[in-house]
Amino acid sequence: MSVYKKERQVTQSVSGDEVKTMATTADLPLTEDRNELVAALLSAWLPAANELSRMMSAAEYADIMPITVLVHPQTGETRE
Amino acid sequence: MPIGTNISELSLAAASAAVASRELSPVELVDACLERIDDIEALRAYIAVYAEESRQVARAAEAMMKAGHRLGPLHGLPIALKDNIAIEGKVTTAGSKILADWKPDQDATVARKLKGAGAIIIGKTNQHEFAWGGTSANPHYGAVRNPWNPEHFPAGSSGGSGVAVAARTCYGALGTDTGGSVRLPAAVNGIAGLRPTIGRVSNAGVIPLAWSMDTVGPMARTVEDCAVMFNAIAGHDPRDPGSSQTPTQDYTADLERDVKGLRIGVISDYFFEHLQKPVHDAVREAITLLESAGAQVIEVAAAHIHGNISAQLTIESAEPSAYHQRWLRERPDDYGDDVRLLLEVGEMLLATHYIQAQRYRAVLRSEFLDAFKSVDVFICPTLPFTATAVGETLVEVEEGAPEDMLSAIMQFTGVPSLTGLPSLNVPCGFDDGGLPIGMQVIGRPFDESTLFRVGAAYQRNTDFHERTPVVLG
Repeated sequence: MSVYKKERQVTQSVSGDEVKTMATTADLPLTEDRNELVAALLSAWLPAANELSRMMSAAEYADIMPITVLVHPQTGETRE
Repeated sequence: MPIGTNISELSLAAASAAVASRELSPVELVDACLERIDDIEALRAYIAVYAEESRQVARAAEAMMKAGHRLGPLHGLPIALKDNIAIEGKVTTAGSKILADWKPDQDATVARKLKGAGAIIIGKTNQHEFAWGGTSANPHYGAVRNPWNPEHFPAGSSGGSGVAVAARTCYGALGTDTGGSVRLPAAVNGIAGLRPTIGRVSNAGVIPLAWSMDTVGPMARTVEDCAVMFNAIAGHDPRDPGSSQTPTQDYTADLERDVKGLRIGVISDYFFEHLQKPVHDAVREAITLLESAGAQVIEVAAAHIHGNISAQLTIESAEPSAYHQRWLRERPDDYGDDVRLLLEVGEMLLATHYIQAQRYRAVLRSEFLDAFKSVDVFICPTLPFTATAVGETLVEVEEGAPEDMLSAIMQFTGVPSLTGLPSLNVPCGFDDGGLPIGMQVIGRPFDESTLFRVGAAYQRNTDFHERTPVVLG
């Protein structure tokens, strides 16, 4: 099985009611039908997002800072 | 060298040479492009066409030529801009209903630079709404269609720019690329397209999708054409806080160099898994061709590449949802169904998901910078499949196993998007149905010249970029 499939073979069920709660927290008014639509897509995405979070929580990455603005090295610094 | 004999069949470089030698006038170029735009109106490539204004500017450009003033290689050449790039006083919709009447009060820096280089902005191209998606099935301005087969999609989000170039309605176009939105439509429309190093081209005046990954890039018929356009738009811009001060160079300088001794990195266990066979075979053959031309192929392991799709989805969801937060509450019904859903889901992801994805980027970037000590470029497919039918939301990369279009389409474009590395799409074949296939050449930060060198060397030995789309045949 490809890495690609491994990354999203699991689903993590999120209900419309749970989305409703999260939307309330975000002050985002959603109708019932929207709750269900959001729940379906979120259920597909969350397992991989949580897997990535687990990976990045490992001790070996403790010193890694997030990239929010990229500052590249000079070209010569990436050559031998 | 001219691609063909008709005016609209000329490459940008050939048209530029013809203007410089006064074999052709800018007025003739504009008229030819406007005629072609009319011919392919059904493909929905454009949101706005500036016909009369383009003719006026062309006459002025012609007058300058007669007076001995040529602004540069783009002087008098019709160029199209994606409609999320601001032009002063012109409606700039970003493919949305929300901005249907918005007129910016100044040009985006890239628009200003193109005008200053003598380009004639012939129109604004259709796109996926707010650039948040990969199909360009726009609910407000019509679904963009592929000139190689109008029943198929042009990819996106810069689908209109890809079609506008492939269908010979302009000599080049600008797109924007967050998760692949220049490279994907370049690939499925059979043209060249560059995602530059983040910070190399100004984003000032461009409606954002995801600030930390957005770039503007040239799309053109040939690699050489892309390099000529890139010369005009690259460089530092004080208006863009993310703009780099690294000096620019002449990006056409290495176009004639061969690839002898160049080290090509290949990551087989990611980039050559889970893709359609014609795509696999075409890109492998392209690598073999470059190897026969003197390049060295080196297999590289990239342990941290797994996870890049999720990181893209998280970042590309959270950042747009922040940008659109007010409109999503005040005007939710003015979004198309798919973009509205993506924006809503983006509000449900946790801050920790976002931050861990941004930390993952640092790990992935470090891994690739290390790899560039032993290779000069990476080559891989641009996307794992050829153009699907217009309107499809699922794609069968493997027969009988439909999967979500959005996740599947960004499978291979994510590494440059997340790491900020430059990446060039080069046409490298067609499937049995005559639909184009593209490969990515990925390089070191600010080393776009090497990408152009590899792409141009490949195009000297192939003719995929010279073939004409079906709708024009």
